Amino acid sequence: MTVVRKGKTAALAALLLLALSQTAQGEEPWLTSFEQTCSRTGEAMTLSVDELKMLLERCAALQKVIETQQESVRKVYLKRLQLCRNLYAYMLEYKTNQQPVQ
Amino acid sequence: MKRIVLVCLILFGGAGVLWGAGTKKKKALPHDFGSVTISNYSQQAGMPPVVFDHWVHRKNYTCRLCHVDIGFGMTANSTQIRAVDNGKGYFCGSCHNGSSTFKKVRIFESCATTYTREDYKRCVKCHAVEKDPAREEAFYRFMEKMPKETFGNGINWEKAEDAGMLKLVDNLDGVSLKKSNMKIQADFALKSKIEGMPDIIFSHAKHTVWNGCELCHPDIFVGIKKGATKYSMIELFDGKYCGVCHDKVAFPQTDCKRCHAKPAAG
Repeated sequence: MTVVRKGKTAALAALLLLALSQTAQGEEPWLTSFEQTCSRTGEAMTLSVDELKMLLERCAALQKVIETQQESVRKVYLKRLQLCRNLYAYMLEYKTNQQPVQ
Repeated sequence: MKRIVLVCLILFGGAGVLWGAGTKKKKALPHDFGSVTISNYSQQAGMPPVVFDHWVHRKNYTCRLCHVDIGFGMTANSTQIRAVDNGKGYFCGSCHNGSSTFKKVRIFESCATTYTREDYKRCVKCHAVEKDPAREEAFYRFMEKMPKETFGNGINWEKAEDAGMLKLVDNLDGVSLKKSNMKIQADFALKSKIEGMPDIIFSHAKHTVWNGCELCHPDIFVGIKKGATKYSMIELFDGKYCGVCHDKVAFPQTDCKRCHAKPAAG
């Protein structure tokens, strides 16, 4: 396992752990993560392949957390997450296809 | 025997004609254009379906705010909204919570699990029992002040916004995300399939301001490469691609010149 991959796995594990826990104030950390992840849709065209891949990994981790929430939250945030995740995946496909085949 | 076969054929043909006539699309009146009837759980709860007027909301808010930030689906009944969701401050309850305001006016509260006879008057603002002449009147009063358009609901929304007559809200505290600066893609032309018909000018700028990127890509427009997807008017009129919004809420696709706008060469 490369250093980069180890780093990514650790980051994802930390995100999942953070999201599954709740702060004392009742603030839900996954919402912060959701905001950080999905607030970049407006600049999706300018993101690099690596950035898009990272955002998609964060989306996958967030999905797991949102699926454990109560029904109203789950319904709203899974829909919102789907919109941003699909856009990132779409852009990733576009950018990957643009790159010359080695 | 032959007579029975003949009667059956006549009955079958007649039924086909009636069925065809019944499914023909009726042109909506201006005040009804963009109205959506939502009926997932209302009738089970003893309430009439919700009649949602798009014009009331689109004069104040961007499409994106409701369909991305709040999470409303793009087709009627796809969101599966429950009274309890609204009561918790989601969907309609994001604004209709009894405390939010618009231009310093308090927005009425949406659903409640229990209600009095007095509360019921509030319920029927959305759960429309019958046609409300006041709603129609409100529309025509609003329409009078707006730039005119021949089709749809008779309002040219684009001109209204350009002229500063509408200032659409695109952010809802506690709901919307802090947005990064959007890089707006350039407008482009799409070749018309019919000779003599001007090419289509697609304005990314107009669409992204109201919709953002993720409302259209990839759910509605999946093609990655320009020109890879071949659009046909049959598909568009069938509610695909541009037809997801145009004909239903945005100006109808029968208003050809709004899209086929590229001046002829020479």
